[in-house]
Amino acid sequence: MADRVQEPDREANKSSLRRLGIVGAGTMGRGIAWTAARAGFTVIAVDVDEKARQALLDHARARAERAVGRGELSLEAAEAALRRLSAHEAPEALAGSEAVIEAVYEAPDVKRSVFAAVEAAVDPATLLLTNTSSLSVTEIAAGLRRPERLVGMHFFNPADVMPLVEIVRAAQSDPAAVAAAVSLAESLGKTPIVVRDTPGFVVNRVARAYYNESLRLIEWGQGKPEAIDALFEARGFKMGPFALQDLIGLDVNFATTSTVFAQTFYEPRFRPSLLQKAYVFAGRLGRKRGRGFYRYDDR
Amino acid sequence: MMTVDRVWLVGEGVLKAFWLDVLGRRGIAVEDGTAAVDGRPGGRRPGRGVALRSPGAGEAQLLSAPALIIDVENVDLRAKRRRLRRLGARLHPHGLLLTSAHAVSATEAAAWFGRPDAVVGYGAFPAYGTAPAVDLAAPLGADPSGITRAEAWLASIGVRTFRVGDEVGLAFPRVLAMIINEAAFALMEGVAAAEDIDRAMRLGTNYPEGPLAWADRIGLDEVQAVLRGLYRAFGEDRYRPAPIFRQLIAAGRLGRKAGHGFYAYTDEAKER
Repeated sequence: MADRVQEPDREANKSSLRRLGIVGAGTMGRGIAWTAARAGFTVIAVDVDEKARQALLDHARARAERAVGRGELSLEAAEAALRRLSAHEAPEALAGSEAVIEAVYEAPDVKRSVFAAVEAAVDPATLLLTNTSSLSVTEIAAGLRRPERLVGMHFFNPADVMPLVEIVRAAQSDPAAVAAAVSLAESLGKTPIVVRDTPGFVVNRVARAYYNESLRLIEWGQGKPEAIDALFEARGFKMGPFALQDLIGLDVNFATTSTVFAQTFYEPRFRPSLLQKAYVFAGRLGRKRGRGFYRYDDR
Repeated sequence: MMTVDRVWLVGEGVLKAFWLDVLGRRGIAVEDGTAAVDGRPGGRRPGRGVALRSPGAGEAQLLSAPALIIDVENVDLRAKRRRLRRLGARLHPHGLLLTSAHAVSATEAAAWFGRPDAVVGYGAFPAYGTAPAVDLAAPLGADPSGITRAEAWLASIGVRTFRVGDEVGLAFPRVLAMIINEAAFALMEGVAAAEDIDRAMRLGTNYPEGPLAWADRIGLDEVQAVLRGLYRAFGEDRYRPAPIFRQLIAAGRLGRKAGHGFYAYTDEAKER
């Protein structure tokens, strides 16, 4: 077990008495961990991969330095936040947490095995949260000893920047657990909305139309990506649908559409685009590969 | 470039307000083309421009033939077809018809009008850009000089234009209607409250307005008109309107203009 568990906080911040567990030190886990530490929580991050643990701590330090540099955080507050954050190998470190947020790989079996270990380590009253963008929270809960304690908590990437959190109410969720998840999200400085557990929840579901229908326009030869993007940006959208797919990654976007399509038992509104699939196979994944719908020479 | 000092506005709906605003700012006289073509006073009086005139007969009518007719109808397609069939003979020989292509394609509207070279389809909804903007499409087989003239004239009055291939709903109205349709399905399925769906799309993916609030601003009948047009034209389940539109519209909840749509509005909010 790591040493930095609890220390008297000079700012006497009430939430520093609150202990939050995070399992998974990937991109989402890192963003959530820094968000929570900065919001005053004592954060216990757990990951079996030592490199990932180190990356989580490095990310927090980099974010802390940036916040100090921008004058958003005093040096003392930043150091206090970093002291509240620790990374551990074994799930036993989660003992005493009021809530545990799981942010591991997006596969139901992986998430269930993580929750089996978490349930063995924490008090039965602990609130359990799964950060998923595309899996059924109801399906994950079905594998738990206490499924009523599990609620979905969908953060958006980057988790320490994006204000929205979708609180996902599974079929088994205890209303008190949903209320506790809403309150926790608010304590983290986020704006929570409660959604019923359905494919894509709200954001990833409604946003499918922006991508899918725009893809059809170019598939039908009604316009080029540049032209379609421009006409949306002229109506107040920050990024057109093709520039946005390049930013997200066409592979990620295609996977989300495919998942929502399959989970809705093949609702035609969500049918993925053959053109998008071809781009994915061709390696034109967007900015990260230097080419998607556009070319990026500055990479 | 064509000089336009007066315009016939034909039909009813959200696009009438769009054009009255755009043309009013430029001091272009707007005449009630609905009354002219229907042979009776139609709709409400335009906000600006010259007083309404009943069309004269014979020579007087030819001399007064408008160089530009803008058709705004999307909801009552029978009336749209009837008017376009009559208007073909009323437009000046070198004039242009801008017809909204939200519920039928520009090509179909041009077939009703009978003079495809004089027809340009457009698409527009109230939006959040810095300047008014329209999608434009030439009917299939039409002489490209029509759309070029339309682009030049619209640019001269401060309207941004985006040329796209012709199909029902063009680009922006079609995609926005589909976004709104998905939000409407999510609402009727109880996935989340209306306010939460809108907040999610603004904060989660940076949309300039929540889809349901945006629909209320456009008018639910106008959104449904695009979806019905797409569904009728393409015959795919993908485009079927969420049943909640039919119910809300039947109950008179057309959006902001009716004081109630997905949301209820006070009198003050209605005016905005």
